[in-house]
Amino acid sequence: MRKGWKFVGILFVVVLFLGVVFLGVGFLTGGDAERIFQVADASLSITDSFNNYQEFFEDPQNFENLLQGLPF
Amino acid sequence: MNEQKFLTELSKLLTFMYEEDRQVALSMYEQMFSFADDETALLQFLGSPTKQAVMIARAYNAKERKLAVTSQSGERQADIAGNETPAFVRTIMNIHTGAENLELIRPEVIEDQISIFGKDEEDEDLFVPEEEPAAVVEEPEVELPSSELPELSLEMPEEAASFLADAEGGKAPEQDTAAPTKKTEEKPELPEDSPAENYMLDLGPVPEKPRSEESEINITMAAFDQPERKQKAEESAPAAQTTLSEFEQTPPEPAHPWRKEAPPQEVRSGKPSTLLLILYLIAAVPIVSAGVLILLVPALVFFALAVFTGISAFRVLMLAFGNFAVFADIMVVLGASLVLFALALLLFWIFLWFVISAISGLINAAIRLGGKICYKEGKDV
Repeated sequence: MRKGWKFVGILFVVVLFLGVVFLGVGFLTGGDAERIFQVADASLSITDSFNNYQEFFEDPQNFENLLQGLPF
Repeated sequence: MNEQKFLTELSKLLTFMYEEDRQVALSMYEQMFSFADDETALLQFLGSPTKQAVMIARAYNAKERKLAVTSQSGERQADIAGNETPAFVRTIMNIHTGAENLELIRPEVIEDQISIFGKDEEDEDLFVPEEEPAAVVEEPEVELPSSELPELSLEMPEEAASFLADAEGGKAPEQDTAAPTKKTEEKPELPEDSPAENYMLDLGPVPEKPRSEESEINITMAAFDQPERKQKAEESAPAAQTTLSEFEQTPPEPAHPWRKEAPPQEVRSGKPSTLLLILYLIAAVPIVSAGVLILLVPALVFFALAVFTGISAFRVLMLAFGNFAVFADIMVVLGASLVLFALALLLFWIFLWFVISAISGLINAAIRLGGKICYKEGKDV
């Protein structure tokens, strides 16, 4: 298990480091977060999904309906 | 060069061996020195530590030893004492035998065997050759270097062969006479670096008979070299026959002190207390089940998070290809994807750790606790 922790820890640090490097290079070379978000929203419908979840959690009746719909 | 220097140097040269084997080899050399009457003569016989290391290296099969050491490390002594004597041990034993034959070291004879010799004083005269190696060396015709002495002692005269044929029923001597003659013919092709090396090459594997018996045969053979003793020995042939048969009946001795037997290990066992066991099971099963369920909740949360992060990372990665025109944006998205993948990996590992370590650890701890509470410890052996 210790070897597992060591292996996963090293892999995690390496991948995270690479990700941070990519992010840094991207932003340094002119990457724009707002532009990226617009493209992502258009492609993945992030705003719509977020609004749907927000509506669901705001109304307690939705939880009751969900629980009633469960098979047990 | 003294004993200490020799052993230190040899120890450094044998680092290619496994530690257990190296210790065995060194202890065998230490044993030789402890039995040596004249340390200088023995050192001369052995030659340099490098030569000894080369001889051991020739006989050492590292792959074979790796298997033996790793699979039977707990039964190391038993392995050496058993039939599977490693080749390098046989080599050192042959050197040991060679030194014994040259009377550089005292033969290892157990007390019982000494008492057997002590029974008949005439035999004692016969079996304890005095100044024999010197007599052989001093013969003017021979004048051989000390390196060829072992060869001389191995050649068995016909009279000795016939005597041994009488004593042992006519089987062994024929083989014995044939073998040394054959090896003597091969002798010129072999390197003659040191007397010890000659012994290793001449003698071949050491027979599994008790060492003292072998020594006795050698001494008897040497006794036949002198004509005045020959007559005496023929007269006492029946007595010698009895001695041989007594040796055959003697159980195999622990020939070398490095073959110590492992002390008997205590086997612990316990008697279960049935009532306690039932009570413990009634209490432990629900508690452990509840504990497992409690631990499953965070484990499943971590699993859900890992799956969610992993899917997100994959979707972001897919987004990076084909949706962006600016290279910098692609780099940013790829970076975000990598960060998410790293998080997913960590979360998934934490989930696995919960399942493997925490939950199975809880169950094992409960079983161990039950063993402690419900079993009364006792010693069988």
